Amino acid sequence: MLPGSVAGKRRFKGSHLTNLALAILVLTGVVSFVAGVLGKNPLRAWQAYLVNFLFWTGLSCGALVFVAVLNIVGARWGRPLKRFAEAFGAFLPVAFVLFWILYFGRMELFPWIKQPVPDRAVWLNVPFLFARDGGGLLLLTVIALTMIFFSVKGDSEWSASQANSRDATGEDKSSSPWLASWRKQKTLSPILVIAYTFVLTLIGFDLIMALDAHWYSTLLGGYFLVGSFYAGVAALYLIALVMQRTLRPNDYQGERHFHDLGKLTLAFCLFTGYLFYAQFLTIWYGNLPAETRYVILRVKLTPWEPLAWVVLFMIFLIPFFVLLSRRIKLKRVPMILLCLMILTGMWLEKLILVAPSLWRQNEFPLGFTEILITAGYFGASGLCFKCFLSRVPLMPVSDPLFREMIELRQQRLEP
Amino acid sequence: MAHREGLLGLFTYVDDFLFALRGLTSGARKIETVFSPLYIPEIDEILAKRPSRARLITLLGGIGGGLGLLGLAIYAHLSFSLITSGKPVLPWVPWVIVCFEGTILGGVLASVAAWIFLGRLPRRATASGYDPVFSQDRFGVLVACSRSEQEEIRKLLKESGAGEVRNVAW
Amino acid sequence: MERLAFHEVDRKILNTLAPAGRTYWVIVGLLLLGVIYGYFVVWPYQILTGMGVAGYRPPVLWGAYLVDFVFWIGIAHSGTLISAILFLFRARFRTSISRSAEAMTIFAVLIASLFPLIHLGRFWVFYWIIPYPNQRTLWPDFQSPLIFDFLAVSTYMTASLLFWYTGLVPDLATARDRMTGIRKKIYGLFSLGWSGTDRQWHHYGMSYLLLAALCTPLVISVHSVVSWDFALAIIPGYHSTIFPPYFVAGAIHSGLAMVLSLLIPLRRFFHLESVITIDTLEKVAKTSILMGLIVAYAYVVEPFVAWYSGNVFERQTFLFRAIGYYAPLFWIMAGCNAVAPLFFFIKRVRTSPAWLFAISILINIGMWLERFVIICGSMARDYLPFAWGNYWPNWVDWSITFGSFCLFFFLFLLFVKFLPSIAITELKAEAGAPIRPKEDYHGA
Repeated sequence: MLPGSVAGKRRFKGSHLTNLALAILVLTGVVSFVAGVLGKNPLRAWQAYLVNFLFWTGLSCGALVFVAVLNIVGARWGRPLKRFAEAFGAFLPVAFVLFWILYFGRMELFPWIKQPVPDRAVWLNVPFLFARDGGGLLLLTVIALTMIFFSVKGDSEWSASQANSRDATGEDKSSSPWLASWRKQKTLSPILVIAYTFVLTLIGFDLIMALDAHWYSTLLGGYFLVGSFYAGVAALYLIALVMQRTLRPNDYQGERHFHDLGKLTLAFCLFTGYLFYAQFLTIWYGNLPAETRYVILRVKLTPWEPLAWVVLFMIFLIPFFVLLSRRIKLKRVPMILLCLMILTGMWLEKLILVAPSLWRQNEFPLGFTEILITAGYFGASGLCFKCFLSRVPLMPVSDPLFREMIELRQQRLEP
Repeated sequence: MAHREGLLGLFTYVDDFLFALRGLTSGARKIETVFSPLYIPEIDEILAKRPSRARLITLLGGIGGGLGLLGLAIYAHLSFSLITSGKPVLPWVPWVIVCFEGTILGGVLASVAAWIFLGRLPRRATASGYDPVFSQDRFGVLVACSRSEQEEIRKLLKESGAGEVRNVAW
Repeated sequence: MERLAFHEVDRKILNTLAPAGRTYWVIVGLLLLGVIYGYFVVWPYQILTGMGVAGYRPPVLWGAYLVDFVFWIGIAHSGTLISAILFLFRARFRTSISRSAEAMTIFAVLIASLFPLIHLGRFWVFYWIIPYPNQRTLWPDFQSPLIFDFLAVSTYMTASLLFWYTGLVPDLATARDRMTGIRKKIYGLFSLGWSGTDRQWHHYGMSYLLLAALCTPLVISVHSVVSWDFALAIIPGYHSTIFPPYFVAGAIHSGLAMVLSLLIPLRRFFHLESVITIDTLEKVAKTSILMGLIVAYAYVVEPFVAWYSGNVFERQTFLFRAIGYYAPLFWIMAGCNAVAPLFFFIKRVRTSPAWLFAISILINIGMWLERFVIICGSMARDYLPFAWGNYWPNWVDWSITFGSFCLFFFLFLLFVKFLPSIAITELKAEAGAPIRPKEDYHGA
């Protein structure tokens, strides 16, 4: 069975009901955000907005970087996920727009405006910060969209050649236009990864580290970008599990495929935990006041200490022990729950990185405001995901590695 | 050791070899040993082996190693409490590393012991029926059988494509 | 280049064990002289006369010996990366280089573990660091990063040795079966009577996978622990949270460079071009680019955060690195480690053994200098200006460093001649067990 002609035409047709539900979520988010900002306690709304911005942008970029890494190493196994990852990346232009809204909350969010730190004034000032972060996000968005464009273009070129020629063998001649698109994707992939590294580091330094007037950590940028990649992988795993019923089961995703995804999630769970520990141990051991104030506030003082432990369990301890077992990795529902837990944990982790630097009130900032604004972001991301996916072939048919993967599967299944 | 006798079939091609193995197992023949120069997972499948106990042994070794080294650290710090830079007497933060290294060490030692001893190694001589070509490029299967069964098994092996069939006693 | 056939593998690889010629023994002899000079002449001189004969001058009390320690542990990492981590990723290009890389690991860890003894001065009291109940009623401080170092490096030594040995056993059995006389007996002894039975392979296969899975986090942890030797101190230039991943990436970087430096001559002398293919070398080069970029990331982030911190001590440390006494070393290091691997983006460079070799030498030099700049440079300029001082390794330091390089190459050359330097069994697995050709069926 040739993957091309059938898969090329397959689209993900979600129901209109889902679109409506997502739109309602977006609306709810917008309304509650505006109400919060104009209300008594604007900091709460802005804080929730920032946390969501960091989480969802990081997740989208991370998922896209997954594809870039697959392209760079020439891996075949992850190909069916390519479209889903690109669908996550489709949120990036929206994220770029949402970034500028932070400008209106700058007085609430950036303590260094009201209390400037003279040593850092040349770096931490409003025009420069927004210029560099906005510029970085723009660069990342442009590279990402270009890569997605070539991926989709390749598929349409391939499908067109299938429709035109009499013998639809789908062979790759070196002059085939879709191979040119593929080569462009391969060139853009390392550029995307490098841009991701530096831009997310910058965002981490500016939007997380700078919120505390005295704290600094060389690893924070790295921690943020690896954590975002972890969230991206968990999100892709979740989508693959949820979509398992929509796709014909044995076509593209076998048992081994899910096992590999589980192993990758375990690897990044360990990596994220390792980076967290690297920061924590160094700061704990050195006991230097400039560094420890940030950590002590989060892990030893109320109200944040319980949240810190919850986050540790959700993103590291529970996934680690669960993902060690081979059998559990093959069970659908436990894995879906695990991925949801990881994603929730990563959201709470952003909260605990950001909120204690800003929040000085008694009430714990986790309630309806946060849930509704998160729902808004979820709706926005979901709408981008669905809109993109409904316009493009579900499987990356022009991708030569995808077709190699299909051929290998067929060879293995034949006696 | 009990005095046994049987036939040893030597194969050049792996598909012939696996075919012969399937024939022998479906005919409920007593396969004594299977020789091969490299690890072939299909052999384990055909012989219906349970997953190796090396996994469990490694896990237990790892847990033992981790807890053991951690226990040593706790005992050492309690018996000689050296307070440095205001750190607590039993600091769990750096001891994540101690526990981790102990787990890896215990796991590695257990794993190596597992494959050596579960494989009934070390042994002074090679297994009965062993031929040096088995470490080069030939596959072999040693079937224990009585004189009466020999003709039938010899025929099965030859038809599967055995290059040579020998009588072996051990 | 033709792919090696299943039945040719033994002959081709075991041929490397054939008795060596004059050149080989001359080189081994010269290296042995270097080892004797470094370890048996200069080191005893240092022990008898005192540590003052080495270059140590306060405030720099961790000098060339620590740099060598970190350097050799770093070299060790590529071996485990190639054997264990690439095994888990099912990367096929690792097969021809994994055995040599693992051997490199063991020799490098061995050499590295000698350096704490060397820089201890009274090395015979090193047993104080071993945690056992003793009549002094003393225990080491399990909270100290130096103790983690002891635990981590000894675990790494044990694990690498056992992993390497596990991989060797089937190959030793192959060698045993092909040889005669005293060699047969020795290989037979070490092959433990391996017969390739289903029972043996069954447990072996599972164990090998578990060992690879255990060695992978071990690799990351060992160099992280070594980095914490520095990061858990509080002097500027040492105390930095990015050290663990930075050091691990740097270690893999230098290790891969050493792999290239060793294997390119190896494949030339033993005519193993069909086994260690250009494709393999190319993949090693590409991994090198990645490691170089991670190291470059740290080179950018560290000075930035030092400036950002506003801490005058941090700022001056990094300014000193860029324009101070050790500045030339810093810029050479940045060039060799971050810029040189970028040449591997050019296909012609990464597929030419000569270029690969040249750039790998540059990376090795650069990585040694990086450790020097971090370790000695940071100590030279810490908090009190009154205590500032410069350090330069003197002839004792250089002699022992030279001895360590000689020891490494000496052991590696011995390994290459006495043990199969390419994993025979894995190469057979990659060549694929032979299937009966279709013509046979038609002919019968």
